[in-house]
Amino acid sequence: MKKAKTLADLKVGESAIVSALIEDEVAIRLMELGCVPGCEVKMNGKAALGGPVNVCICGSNLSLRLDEASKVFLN
Amino acid sequence: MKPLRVALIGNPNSGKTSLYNYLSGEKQKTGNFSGVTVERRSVLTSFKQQSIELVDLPGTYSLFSTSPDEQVVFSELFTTGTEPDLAVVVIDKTMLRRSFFLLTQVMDLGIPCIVAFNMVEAANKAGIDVNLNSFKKHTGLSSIEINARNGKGIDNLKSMILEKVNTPKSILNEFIFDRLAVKPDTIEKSYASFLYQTHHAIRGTVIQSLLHLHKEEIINRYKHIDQLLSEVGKETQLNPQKTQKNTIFADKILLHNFGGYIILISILFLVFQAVYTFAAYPMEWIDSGIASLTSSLSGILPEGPLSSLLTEGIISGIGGVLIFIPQIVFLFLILSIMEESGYMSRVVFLMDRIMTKFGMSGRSIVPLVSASACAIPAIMSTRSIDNWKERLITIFVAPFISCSARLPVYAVLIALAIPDIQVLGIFNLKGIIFLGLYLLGILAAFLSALAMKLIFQPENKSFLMMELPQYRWPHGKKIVATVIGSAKTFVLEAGKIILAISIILWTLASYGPGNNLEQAAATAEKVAVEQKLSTTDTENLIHSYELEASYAGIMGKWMEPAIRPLGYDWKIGIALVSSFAAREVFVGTLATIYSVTAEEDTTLIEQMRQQKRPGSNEPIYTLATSLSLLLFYVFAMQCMSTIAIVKKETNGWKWPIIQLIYMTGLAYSSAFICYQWLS
Repeated sequence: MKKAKTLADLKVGESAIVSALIEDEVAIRLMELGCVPGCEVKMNGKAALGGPVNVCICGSNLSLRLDEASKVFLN
Repeated sequence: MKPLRVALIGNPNSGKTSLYNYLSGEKQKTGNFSGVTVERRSVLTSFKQQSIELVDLPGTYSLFSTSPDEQVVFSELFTTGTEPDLAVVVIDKTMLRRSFFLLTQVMDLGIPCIVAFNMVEAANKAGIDVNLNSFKKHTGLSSIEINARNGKGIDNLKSMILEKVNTPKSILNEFIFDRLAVKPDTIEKSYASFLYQTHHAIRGTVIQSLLHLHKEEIINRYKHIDQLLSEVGKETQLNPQKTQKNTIFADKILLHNFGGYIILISILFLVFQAVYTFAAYPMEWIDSGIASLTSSLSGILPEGPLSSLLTEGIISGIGGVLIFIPQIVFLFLILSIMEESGYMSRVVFLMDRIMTKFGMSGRSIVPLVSASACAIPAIMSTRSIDNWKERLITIFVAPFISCSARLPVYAVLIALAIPDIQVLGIFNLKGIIFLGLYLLGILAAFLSALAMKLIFQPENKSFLMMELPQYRWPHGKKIVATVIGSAKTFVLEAGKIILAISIILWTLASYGPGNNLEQAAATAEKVAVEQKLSTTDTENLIHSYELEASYAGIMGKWMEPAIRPLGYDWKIGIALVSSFAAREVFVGTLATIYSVTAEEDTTLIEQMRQQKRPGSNEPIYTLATSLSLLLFYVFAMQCMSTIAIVKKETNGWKWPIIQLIYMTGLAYSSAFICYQWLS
């Protein structure tokens, strides 16, 4: 089975639609900021050496660590 | 009459604090960086004879509390006696969807509220608009457009606060009531009860059913918000490219994987340069101003204890405070420009990966850079770090970064002991040692952080999740207010302690138990007669004997056995004790100690050079002693204000005591090794 694609896998400049999130506190925080299933996300940039990513979630730019981004599944 | 309690609630960067400044007339620091309002802040004011208690709450995205900032909001709204009579919800109009999340949460709590739309112009440009009549119809809330930067609309907002404010329509209370296992008395209290249960569950173990309900609540809330937005407004773009074109372009450069770091390092270097080079000129002016004031005063005033207290105690104490103002001003000038412009969150973004390796967060970089001016504001600014362990590590290691109070100690000792020679033709050895001491402090901070990370094993629950706000031009007026405010705080807070210590020290050095001083003076006179000394030498001898017999001398002698292995005598011992209050007092104390025994017109450094080890002709301040003292000051805690603030921020004596023992232990052992090895 192919591993589901997450926000962490998105390449710089790519956009996608959120399909689901893991059920934990970090994901809940992301959802509170508007990252709910059906919302559009875009990868703006990635910091060096596996550092945080800069993503646009429904119009606001957020900085997330990679393991935070990997809790968001994409269509 | 009881004042009307008005709480300001809003997302970080929504302009809430600027609005607070306008409503209260108070100048408070605002920033384009999450976490400026770190504490609940309130002011009593009045609009048209109605007295108002205005409460500024930390910016938050949600009422569910995870960080210390959010807990302030939570307890403000939930503690009986502090709940607001009404709330003003401040909304960044360019971020309607996300702002409505917090707004509808407040609505579900049933708090009467008014909505203030801020950043209206930017929203207009982006084609975002809200029909305020339709908004009122759907939510039951009055709203107003304001500009928190120039004050537009604020008088109308004040009038609205004084009118009868509507209780909002409830949105999800019924939905939650049906799903709560532990049900409240009434449906209206459902959301409050749910928040309360979750708040206490998160502190213990997370209850999966609550977490699940929380998730359902968020999804449903956003469904309602999307519905509401389609009815009251037009948000033509979910795609930010248009409004954020400049920000996205700037981030391509400033967050570049290579160039971004070069720019960051240059800026940090500029901070350092400003604090240590540019600030040196005004510091010199202050220093010589104080010196001439002292000498002219001692010329005018009749000799006696009062004149001595004034010139040697009080004025030199005040001078010791004023001298730091230029550094504080430069530091806060640059930091506040970084915060206001939005660059500070990019610093966090760039540094997060490196800092997590040391058990800290990207957010720790701000406190650590601030610590190069003073550990106190640095430790206070750690509140924006959500994860407790990351925050604790940052608090623990921040005092290792050489603060500006160590600067005078370094300066005096380096000038005294390090020869003025050139290395490799262009570098001065004094400068190299100076830089080395700073690097040593940074190294100690990071290695200690690493050690703490290994001990603590921080679990993976920490998160960064931070907004990268749009860049905007810093607001000159606000920056000036910030800088003046921080300088004032420093002078008043640190100044009180330093001034008090100066007076205590003067007393300790001028008085002794019983008639000790008289006896010492008599002995000295006898010795002087025997040795046939001149009048000046006799006076010096008397002063020296008196100091030895004073309370300060007794304390220094009492601790001499402990510090002799480090190469120090009882006079340095006095300086160590007094500078436990604040490091910079070290220099002042030495000046007091030696000026008491000094001839006129000799500088402190010359005085120190002339000091001999008792019973021999060997100077006290050899290279070994001076380096040992320098190392001691790099590592030692030596700051009562820091201990006090750590106690406050960690809620107890445990951490400040561990920190004190650790830092003093490290300082003592490295000074010991250094002295024993070199001498």
